[in-house]
Amino acid sequence: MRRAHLMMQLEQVGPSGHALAMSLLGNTDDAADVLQDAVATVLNVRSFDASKGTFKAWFLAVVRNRCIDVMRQRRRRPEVDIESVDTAAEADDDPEAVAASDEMAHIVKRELAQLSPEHREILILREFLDLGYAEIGKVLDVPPGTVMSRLHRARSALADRVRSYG
Amino acid sequence: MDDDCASVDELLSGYLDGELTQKDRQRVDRHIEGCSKCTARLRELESISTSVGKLRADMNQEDREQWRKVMDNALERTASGIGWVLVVGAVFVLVGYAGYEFLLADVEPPLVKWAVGALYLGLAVLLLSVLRQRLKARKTDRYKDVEI
Ligand SMILES: [Zn+2]
Repeated sequence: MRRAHLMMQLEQVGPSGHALAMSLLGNTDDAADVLQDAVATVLNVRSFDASKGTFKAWFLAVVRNRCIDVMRQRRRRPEVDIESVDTAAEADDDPEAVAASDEMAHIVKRELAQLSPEHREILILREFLDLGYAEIGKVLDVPPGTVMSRLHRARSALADRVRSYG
Repeated sequence: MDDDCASVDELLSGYLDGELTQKDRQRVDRHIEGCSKCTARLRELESISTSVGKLRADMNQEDREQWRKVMDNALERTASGIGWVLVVGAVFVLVGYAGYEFLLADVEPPLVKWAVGALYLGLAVLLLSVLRQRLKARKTDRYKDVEI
């Protein structure tokens, strides 16, 4: 029954894990592999230790660690373009999507994909997944003060890029 | 940007997110009341934050779909794992029973008994070597002792 309970908790946080993996890897296949691994890890753990924070923060930290493994592997394999790690999450230029969303949203989407993985992930954690600073700190394994300054730098970097469109 | 503006700027994201201490929040409140530059900066950060948040809607859908696929995949693997356990278990029981019956039966010539015995022994050796390799592969699996 422990497993059934874990599965239920997983169902709730899974899509967030995918959002984080996509923001870091920018590739559906890699994100799926990472999530597959993360699910296996979670199901192998005896019980979730609540002193580590929320289940969501813990799961996202597992996902993030796997993503970092994948990014390191890509860097080790020279045939893979390192730049693709940073730009792979580039927004689709599907003309219909462009027309449907407003231009600002399109610019923000494209510029978000151009940020460093460090900045992109913290923006995803905050703006997409609605995590508080304490929870983000658990995911990234940094103190809340660092979360605040890093998030501020990430927003500033994105604002600078968007501003250049005037 | 003068010193006061610079030190307030660092607090603006925390201010937006309601993550400042009361003291810092009041400090920002007091400062932006008289500083149009920092007020404009706050609005800019707020609009960036809102714009990123808006992208969430279409991504959410995609994330849920992809997550569904991952979970279906995991369930499928569990189901096929159970299937294999059942099949292998049943084969073991049947083969064991057949071997036992065969041993007790009177079969002529005795060479056939030897041949069947050798067949069983061979199968057992093959099975053990596969198991050994599996265990070895598992030991070198870098995900086994992952720290979380
Ligand atoms: Zn100011």
